[in-house]
Amino acid sequence: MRKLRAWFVRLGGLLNGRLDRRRSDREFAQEMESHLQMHMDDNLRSGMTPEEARRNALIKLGGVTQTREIYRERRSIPAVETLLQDLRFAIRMLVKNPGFTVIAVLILALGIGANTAMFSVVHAVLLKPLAYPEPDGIVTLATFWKVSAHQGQVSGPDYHDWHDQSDAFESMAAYNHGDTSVIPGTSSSPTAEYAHLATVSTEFFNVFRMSPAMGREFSANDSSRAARVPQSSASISPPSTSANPATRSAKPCGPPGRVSRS
Amino acid sequence: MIEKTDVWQGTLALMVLKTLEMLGPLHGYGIARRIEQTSGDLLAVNYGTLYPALLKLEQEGYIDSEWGQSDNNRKAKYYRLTRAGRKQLAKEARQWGQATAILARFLAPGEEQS
Repeated sequence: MRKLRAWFVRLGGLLNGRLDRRRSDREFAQEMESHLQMHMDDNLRSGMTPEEARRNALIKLGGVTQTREIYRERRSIPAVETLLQDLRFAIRMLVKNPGFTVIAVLILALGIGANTAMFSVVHAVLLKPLAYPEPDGIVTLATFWKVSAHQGQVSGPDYHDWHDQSDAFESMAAYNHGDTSVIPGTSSSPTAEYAHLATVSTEFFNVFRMSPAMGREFSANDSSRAARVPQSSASISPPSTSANPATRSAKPCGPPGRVSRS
Repeated sequence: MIEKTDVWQGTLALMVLKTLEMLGPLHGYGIARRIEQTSGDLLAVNYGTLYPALLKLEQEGYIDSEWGQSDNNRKAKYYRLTRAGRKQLAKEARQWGQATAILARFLAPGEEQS
């Protein structure tokens, strides 16, 4: 407890400015001086010559410089004091060499920025959960090829078997995407364009528990080959399409499945 | 070297506390003279080493200091025992008593056997 108190006092000594330290040094010098004077007075009383008295008092006191050093070390915490001195020196040097400072700051900023950017990507792609309700229920299904030990796309018939026969999933949908040609515009003046499209099965929106941003949701009848309902979200609208998404040519339903467990 | 000073400062602190208890508020020179007189010439130590010990005791709160006038009108820093210092003195004195008693028994084995 008392030791702790002493440390706090010394910690306080760290905060003292140069003036405080000088005052403390002066007080120590005064104390030494008064000590010497009293000793000399005593020596004189015991019959020494003034010179002898002073010499004897000085010898008895011992090395004042050494004592002052020990005293100073006790006053605060020398190691931390040195550290603070180094810090102050570093800051002074940085102010003195602005060119070096700018380059150092830029390099640091670049390093920190690059790391932040990389982590942001990792966070968004790998760590952050998907922005759908109950994202941990959404899984990707794939076919595992025994021969090549690779995962691959799911064939259409396999998907239909899984969808109809498995009860491990609340809903299951297949999707495929790729670049293909579309025909936006009105039926009177059709134009041909190349666009990135995704083809999905009817339960696609159930898997993610989302509604399409435009157009209508699928109904069970839509899975018949005749019915094809275009869905469009802002991000996949071809630039020339207006608010009304036009009929587009669609590729047949593709294999990989994305499913949601119950 | 450092350990030696530490041990010395430990006993020195006890002597300082005891001196202040006996004589009341006293300056560094007075404490040094008193310790020297009490110990005879056995403790021939530089007076200077006393001051860091005094600073340590003050930081630990066992003593207080104040500038004042000495008997022959010299300005001097007077040290005074605090309540915590009194308690510490009692504790350390007891510990030293035990330690010396144990050592005494070791060093005089003849009495033990008889």
